[in-house]
Amino acid sequence: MHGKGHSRAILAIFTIGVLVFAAIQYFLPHLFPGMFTSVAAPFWRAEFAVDSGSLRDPSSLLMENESLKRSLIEDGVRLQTIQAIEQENRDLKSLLGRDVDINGSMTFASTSMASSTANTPSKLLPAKKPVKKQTTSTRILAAVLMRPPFVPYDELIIDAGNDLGISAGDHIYAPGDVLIGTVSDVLPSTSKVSLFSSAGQSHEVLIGQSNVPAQAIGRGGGQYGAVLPISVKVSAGDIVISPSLSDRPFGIVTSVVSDTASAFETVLFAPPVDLYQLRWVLIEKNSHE
Amino acid sequence: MNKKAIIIRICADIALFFLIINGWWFLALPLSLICLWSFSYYIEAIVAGIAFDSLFGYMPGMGLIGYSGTVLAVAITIVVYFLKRMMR
Repeated sequence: MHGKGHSRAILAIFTIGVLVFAAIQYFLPHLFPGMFTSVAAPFWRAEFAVDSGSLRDPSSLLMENESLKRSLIEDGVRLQTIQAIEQENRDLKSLLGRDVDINGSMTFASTSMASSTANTPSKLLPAKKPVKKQTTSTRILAAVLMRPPFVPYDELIIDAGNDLGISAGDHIYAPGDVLIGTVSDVLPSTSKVSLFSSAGQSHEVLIGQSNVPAQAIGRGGGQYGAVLPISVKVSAGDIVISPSLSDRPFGIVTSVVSDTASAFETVLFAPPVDLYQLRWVLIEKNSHE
Repeated sequence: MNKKAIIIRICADIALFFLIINGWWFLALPLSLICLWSFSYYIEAIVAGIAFDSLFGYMPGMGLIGYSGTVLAVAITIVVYFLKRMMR
């Protein structure tokens, strides 16, 4: 009898616990995530700092600093050369009757050439407005605190949240301007990022030089798969783009799995960056508006 | 519960905490099972499941998958509780 009463008490406590938990999750969905994240975030930040070399020998840090400064100077010189070549390129295009906007997109001024009596570019009619849409979004650098494969739900946890004005749906870029996901949940000082490669997510993509349209399915861990007819020529190293998401490369074909008995082949591709080694990302604020 | 058992339980809790905040569920799960079997009313396993999902799950659009840590923790707690009652 005592055992039966004891079991009933446990069952009652358990039921009440489940109901309280469900109510909290329903009415205050960020209570538990905010609470546990505020406990875990200092440990994640400490781990990130250690991984970044905060505990390294000062002399090696000074040497690295010196090396980076030298590299920066070299890159500055290279950038100046590129800018000079760009300017020369613009001048040459103007001489040929084409006008170039500041973003690099080219607009043809054939009508102005036709109406022009002199070949001097200064007398051309005003060029068309830039083709590229001007955006008001800004980008914020954030540290990646947790990343796959240890994070179980194929997501990133980044060191920026409500405190920096991040909102759900903001786009996340890896170094190299590679769009990799969107912010899915924002907490006070951290955010969760859903990767486009999360299992089951699908995206329309164009594969290879001939821009073969396909439906890419996320396979987790930065891997995608797309099924194409075997007659389509795709090989490892081909570029994959997703025009609906970004005009930059979305992925690079890593392998093509084909079966002679099947009329289709599976194209496997991954982003140009290794998500497992990602340490920093850029958040494009208000990019979803 | 004697003093030694309390110290072991606290050590296990600390280990579980660090496994959870690192997302190492594949180590946290066997440790929870061992602790559930060894200690009575090891509710830390359920707290660990809730903490795991709070840190990495509970995202809009994930559905029930985002609650897998909590569900699994509750399930193994119940199963081990009844197994212990049957076998002891």
